[in-house]
Amino acid sequence: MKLIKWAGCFLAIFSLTSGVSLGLGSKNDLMINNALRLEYDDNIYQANTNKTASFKVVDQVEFLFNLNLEKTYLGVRYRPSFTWWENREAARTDTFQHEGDVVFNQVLTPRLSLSLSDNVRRGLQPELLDRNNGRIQENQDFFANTLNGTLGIVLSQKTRMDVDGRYYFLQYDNEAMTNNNYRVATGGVTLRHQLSGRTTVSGEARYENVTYDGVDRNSQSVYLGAGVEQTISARLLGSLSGGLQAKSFSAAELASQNSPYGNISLTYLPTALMRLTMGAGYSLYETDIFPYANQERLTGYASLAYDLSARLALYLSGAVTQGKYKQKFVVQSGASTVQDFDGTDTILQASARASYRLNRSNWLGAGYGYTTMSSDLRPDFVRNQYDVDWTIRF
Amino acid sequence: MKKTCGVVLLMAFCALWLTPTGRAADVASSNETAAVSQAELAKLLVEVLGLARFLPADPTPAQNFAILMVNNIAPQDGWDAGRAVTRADLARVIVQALKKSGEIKTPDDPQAWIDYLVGIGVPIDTVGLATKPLEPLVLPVAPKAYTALVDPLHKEIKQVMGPITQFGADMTPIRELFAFKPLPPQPVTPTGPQGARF
Repeated sequence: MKLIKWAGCFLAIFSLTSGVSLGLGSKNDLMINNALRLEYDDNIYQANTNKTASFKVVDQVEFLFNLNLEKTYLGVRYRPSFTWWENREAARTDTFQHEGDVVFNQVLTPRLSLSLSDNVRRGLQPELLDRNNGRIQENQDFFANTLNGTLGIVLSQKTRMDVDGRYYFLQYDNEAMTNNNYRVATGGVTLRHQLSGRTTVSGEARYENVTYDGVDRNSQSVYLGAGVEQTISARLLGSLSGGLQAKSFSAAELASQNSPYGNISLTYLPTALMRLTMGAGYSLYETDIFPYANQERLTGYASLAYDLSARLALYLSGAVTQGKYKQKFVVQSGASTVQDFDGTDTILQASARASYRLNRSNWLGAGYGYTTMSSDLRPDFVRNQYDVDWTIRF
Repeated sequence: MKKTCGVVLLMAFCALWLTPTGRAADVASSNETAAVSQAELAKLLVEVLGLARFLPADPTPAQNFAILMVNNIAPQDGWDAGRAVTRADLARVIVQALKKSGEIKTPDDPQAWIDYLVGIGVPIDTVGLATKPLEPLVLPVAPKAYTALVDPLHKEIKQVMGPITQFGADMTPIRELFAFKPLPPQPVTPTGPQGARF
């Protein structure tokens, strides 16, 4: 852990002091950016009452490497960030976090292609804990990784088949968090047929296995569905998919559940200066609220971008996620006393942001973020964040 | 029986591996120059602009089109997976990717986009040469947390905000939606198409 922190320190200092002298210019496969943010957060612990407000200073370095050959693409990104709180009750007032991802695409033959991607996070996004545990995860001591792989097979000029695999795991360092550790292994096949240049239809089959540490909340799901991707007009693009999901559980006391699932998204350019995206999805989903083993999740989002001038742009966005938890999907957790009942968990996020290009290498930004959670299962909270930032490209 | 099935499967796989695609076969037989489709161009742009990390492995053409559109990159008549890329389409999307659209005085005139690129020394005879001056966007618009909401192969890590969200976590669910920064102008180096696919 110390080694990671020192490595992060070194990289941050290195990028700040050596970026220009690297001679990074117009034709680089390596790019370094640095973003400095000053933020005021009125509820850093996402508490219901007795909120703790704090100023934060955040510095984030981003290393990007792109290799683009005739049949090979490799993209690598590493993004360490350092945060200092002016008012934090925990023992430490500063932290390091790490995020990295790798994308590798390889054309094997005219008919076969391989795509691999991996995303790793260290201490970036701790989950909310269950309602029976009042503690919050203060040390960001978790490790998460997502590995995706796709083998694309061209069956004919207009038909292709993708064989996909995905493995995700979340692991907390703290043994007391065992019930929140889980792994998701997924495999699937997608058959796509291009009806025309603007319309593609698809059929899909998926198998998903979710495994939790600790109390048995394990589940297996089978998805069968179909979809369509349509360029509706020059300015409107849409996709729609849906099907049936059959979910069964390892725990004997939990009955299996069948449910429809669906997803819709639209991308619209009303004018040359404006972009609008929106979408919604519904499915059975894994849960981070112990002792529930399942949730019915509905999510919607919309975002709007508008270029006020060549230098100034405005962005507005909102998203809502609602999870329904049912008592019949509560696992027996031995001696612990659980308040098991039906409940709903709703998270709303909204944000506004302005970005101004100062010159070729510098950008200034200002933003406001609003987050609120309304829940039957855990404490509600409201959080406001105001920030200004400066980004420089070396 | 098992051995026979295995041999048949192996032969089918080898045939699949070695046989060119229908289009490639057509091109070979007719001796015509292989055209680049808009689907291929979009895939290349997504990779060059550093947007691939926001999409699933081997994204569909529609996913590539969508993320390019939210970054304000689209041909005049919109994206069409099957349509061949024209010089006018290519010039338009390259200028858009350079974030220089504001400098086009008559955007409805396709020739204006070509003239602008030629004027700053970017050759557009091939896709490889034209995309050479492009590099990853500093902070692209990338609604990665909200695309592929349901598909278990592609869904993102939970959107739940952490108790102590920090810079990265704060940005991941919502702020990358807005994290758009225009690409600064870049000198053009019209040398060989290193990394050119076409």
